[in-house]
Amino acid sequence: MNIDNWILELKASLSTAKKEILVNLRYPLWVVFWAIMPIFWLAPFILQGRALVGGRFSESFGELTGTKDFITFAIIGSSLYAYVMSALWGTGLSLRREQWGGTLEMILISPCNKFSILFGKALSDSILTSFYAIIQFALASLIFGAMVKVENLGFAISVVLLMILAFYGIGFVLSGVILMYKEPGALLNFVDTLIYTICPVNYPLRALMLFLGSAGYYIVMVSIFFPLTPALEIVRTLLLPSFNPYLNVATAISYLVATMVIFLIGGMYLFNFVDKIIRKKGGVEAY
Amino acid sequence: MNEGGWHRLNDELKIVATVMKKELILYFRYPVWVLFDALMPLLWVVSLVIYGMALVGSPYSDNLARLANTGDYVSFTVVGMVVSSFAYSTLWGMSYAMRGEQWSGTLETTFLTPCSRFSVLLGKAFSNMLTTSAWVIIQITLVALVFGLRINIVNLPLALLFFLIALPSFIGIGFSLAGIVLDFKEHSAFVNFLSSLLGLLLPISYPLSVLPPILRYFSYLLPPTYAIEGMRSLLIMNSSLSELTSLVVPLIFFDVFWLFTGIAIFIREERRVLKKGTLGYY
Repeated sequence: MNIDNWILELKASLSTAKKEILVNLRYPLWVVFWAIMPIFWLAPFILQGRALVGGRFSESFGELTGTKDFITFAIIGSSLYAYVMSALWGTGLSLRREQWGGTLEMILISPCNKFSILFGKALSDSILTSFYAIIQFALASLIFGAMVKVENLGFAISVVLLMILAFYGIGFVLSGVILMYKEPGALLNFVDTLIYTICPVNYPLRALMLFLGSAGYYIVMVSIFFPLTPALEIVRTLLLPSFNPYLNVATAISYLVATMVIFLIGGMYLFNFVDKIIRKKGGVEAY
Repeated sequence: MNEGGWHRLNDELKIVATVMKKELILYFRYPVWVLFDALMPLLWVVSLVIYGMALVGSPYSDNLARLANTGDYVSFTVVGMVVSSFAYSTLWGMSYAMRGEQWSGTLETTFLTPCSRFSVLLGKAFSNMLTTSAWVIIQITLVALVFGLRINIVNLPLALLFFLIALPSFIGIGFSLAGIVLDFKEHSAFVNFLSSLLGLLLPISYPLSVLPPILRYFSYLLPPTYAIEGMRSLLIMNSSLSELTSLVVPLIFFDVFWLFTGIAIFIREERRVLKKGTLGYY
């Protein structure tokens, strides 16, 4: 592919992203919902923590993580978790939404690479999610108070960008699976809850190992191959004073890069595979 | 009630049972959904319990003991989750009840049958509660095996009685949601918002005293709050039913209020939809 074609594909991606953002902004109530609702999901955890320890610091939490401040720990966790929801409910469902709108066939027969379109959809999701995550972090910090090392924010953001790329791959995988099996609600709900449980969103990886015994060890082994886990380990190391990670920064970065490559390549391969199958079966438009 | 009245009641009960059976058959036709429904509440409890253990290092919290008369937060949380599961199941189940018929194209047919709409709604609500009960039993058994659960089994019949006192208010709220969704069609955003709000306002994994005062007042307006507090008192703190008067009285008030309000809202919305001619609209 020559440079002109690359530019054209990039334009297709950017046009798709622009269209998706415009469509999203046409539903301002949904925008407000996604910007504010995560606070409602985070607040019960913080209130539970306050009920159990009587403040914002926990000795036991400090022994497990190096930081006693479980509130900042949870705020970082839930802000990054927004990207998981975006990959699942945004990119994962994007082609299904085209199917609902009756525009999927037109998109698939357009003379551009389908990954340019998928990339555009993922790009719009990550832009909107970053907007939601920033609002969420700011609101949560305002309401509950977050104590972070601001000087490392730049490095933390670059780690989040790596994680977002890895989630693009997961979005491709889900797009393929959903295109094949159509009705995704049950699957997405389950995967969403499973990720929330096995990744260190509100509690550290060591807690899983400590309280679930050998099962916890295997759960952690699975968890570290999901991009959210190494990303959270690095971001918390960078932002939380005295945080003692389960994975050190170098190891976590190598896991993050590896999962990014695996999910991106695997996702593209799987999507191509599913695309061929459904075209053969004639099930592209099947509702 | 005269003989005709009894016959009518008997017929309506048969309809409730038939709708329940139909809904259960439909539900079990999607085994993947069934599996996820069974596993998900378990994952929620596990994450709440692990979080608690990470914070206090054991299944006992001194601070919770000061606030709620019990430091055993595993049992505290599980009872909260169980009661809230029924509240959520009514919320989602009944708001989806008529919308589901709309999706399947069977709403008009259902409305044409010579039976009460409320029998159909009750059948749907009871089928949801039956499946929720099954998952709750699995949830309690597994949590008891893995983390240990200390509940007073002797008080279980009383707790069930207390739950039955709370049930009409849940159903009344369900009737009003079913009516609203009949008119406004798209229920997921609305119910998602309500669920998230309930997750914050209900004392599921924390006592009411940790909520900011203004939110606490809103919490007192919700029947599930009283149901959770009452079930906890009976199952964890060994209270007797007579000690729960302060919870039973508001619950009976909410039962009457929500049943009447729910029925009124549903009838009003139904009339509106029929008048506008939008019953079959998607």
